[in-house]
Amino acid sequence: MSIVWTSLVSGLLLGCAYAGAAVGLSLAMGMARVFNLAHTALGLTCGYLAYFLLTAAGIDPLVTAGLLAPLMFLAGLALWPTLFRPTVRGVADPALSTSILTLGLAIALENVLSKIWTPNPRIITTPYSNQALNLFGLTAQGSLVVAAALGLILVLVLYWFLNKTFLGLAIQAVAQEPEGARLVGIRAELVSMLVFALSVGTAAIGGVGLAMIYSFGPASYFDWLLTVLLIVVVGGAGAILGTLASALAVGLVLGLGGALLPQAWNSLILFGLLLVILLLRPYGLFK
Amino acid sequence: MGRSVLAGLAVVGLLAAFPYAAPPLYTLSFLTVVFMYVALAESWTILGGYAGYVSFGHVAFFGVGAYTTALLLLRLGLNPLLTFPVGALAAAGFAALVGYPIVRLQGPYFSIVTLLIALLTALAVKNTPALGGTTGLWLPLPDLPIEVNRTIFYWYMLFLAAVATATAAWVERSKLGLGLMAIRQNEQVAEAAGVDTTRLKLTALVLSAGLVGAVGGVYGYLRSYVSPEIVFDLNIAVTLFLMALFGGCRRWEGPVLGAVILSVVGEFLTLNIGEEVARIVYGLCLVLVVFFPDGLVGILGQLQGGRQPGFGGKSDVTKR
Repeated sequence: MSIVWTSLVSGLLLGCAYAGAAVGLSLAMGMARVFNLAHTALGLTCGYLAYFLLTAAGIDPLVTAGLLAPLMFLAGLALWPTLFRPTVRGVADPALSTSILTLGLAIALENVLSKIWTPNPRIITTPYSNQALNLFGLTAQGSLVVAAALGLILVLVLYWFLNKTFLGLAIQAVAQEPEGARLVGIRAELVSMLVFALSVGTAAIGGVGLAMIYSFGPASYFDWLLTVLLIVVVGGAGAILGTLASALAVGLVLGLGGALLPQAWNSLILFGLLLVILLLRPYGLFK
Repeated sequence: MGRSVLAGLAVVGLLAAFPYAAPPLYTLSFLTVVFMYVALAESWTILGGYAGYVSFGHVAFFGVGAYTTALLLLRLGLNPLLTFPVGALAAAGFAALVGYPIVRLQGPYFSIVTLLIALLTALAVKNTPALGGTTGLWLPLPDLPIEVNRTIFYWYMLFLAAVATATAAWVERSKLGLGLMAIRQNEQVAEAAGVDTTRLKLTALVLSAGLVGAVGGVYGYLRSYVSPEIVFDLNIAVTLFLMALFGGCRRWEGPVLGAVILSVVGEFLTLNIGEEVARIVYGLCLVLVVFFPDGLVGILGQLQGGRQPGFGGKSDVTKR
């Protein structure tokens, strides 16, 4: 019985970590009309940088995540006018165009990573990675707890930002009613750029979080992407707390599935769930 | 029209005579792969280009075709060079089976679902011992000199490329094509105007999948080995639609152009620098095509300054 409880706890922790990786994509899809298939590839790139800085200079991945998030935010600011604004604007189906564009980016990034770091899997090992922490009488792995905390903090900060700050409310206004937002003087174009940059910034934190709990190779972004897509579609694009709730649910399913079923079933559960949900409710369960 | 058919036949005839010039085996094999990608990209464009339903997972139909002819060879001793139409039928049947629920999905949701179907099909094959599981199935090639074998496959892929190209060109001019293009420009308006969009999308999907299945049916035999890694390879899935988009997927000329150019570029980079660099370039090309919705064919047309029968992404409606 205790294996069930332990995997329940690690499933919830996994869910928190995945929430951090998914929340940015949810923002981009729900509020900037960017279907970013490169989200986890960008995150994975940050994971590799965290690995590199840890092994080369002993810098803790949490510090790297903190440094990379603003840098990725700036990268997002630069990418928006060059690649994304022309793609989103005036195209019949921005979601489709951006998904093709970002698929290309993801493939290019994957092979850049493979060129630099070879296809061999890497593991981030910090002093706290393999420490067994005691949570309410159940044990959990140190790296998982840290990654979960990182993800949870990210989601809560974003939720606070979107609901309690003027800028956040402006972002929501543009997402809900772009014309109306323009009428009251919100510069919708600027807001979209900001949301996108924010989303890319969070990819750094989410990606480093996932890289702390899994061994990863250049192609790992793909399974991460499908998991994160599942979370966003279930939670509803643009819904921050919905993303958190669905990430917890997906984490539980993956955690329990991983503990109770053979390895091969994990992919089946992930692909199958995503397929069924896309077929039945492509625009989210709660919309 | 008549003249372009004659020109097309002349080109195919010349290419068919090429093996008699005793080219190096490498050249023959490379051209075989180019023809394969021409066939795949043309097939893909019937749905992805004309109707704008971008499938990321066409490799599913490729794999179904390959496994069908492989099984027919191993169980019944039937040669894939004869049974490849059965591979086409199996792939078309599979597309008809999964098609109805998926063609209702829009934009990237359709793309992702096709990708998932490819992943799930590969997963099912991997876990079916009767299909060889992850190890795959070995297909004994006919006991002929290697030059003869290569030449046979060269002709087959050339034939399939010609058939797929002709089909795409025919669809482009047919009522089916007109309906598909209406769907791409504005599906709701098309539906309101009385176009049975679901039926047309299904027809295009089944046709496209059948052609891809035929190519897969020959490809497995060409490799003399089928495994999930090889015939459900996602790199093939991405490459074939990248080629169509790059060349221009709204005109039948586009995929031919895209497949030829990108095959040459990819082969050059792979041989001289490395496969990863080739894939990086492919990825960046995918970024590039978003800004040129009519692809290379569209750019060339604009350079010539002639009036474009193409349908620009942004100017879809205003141009007409």
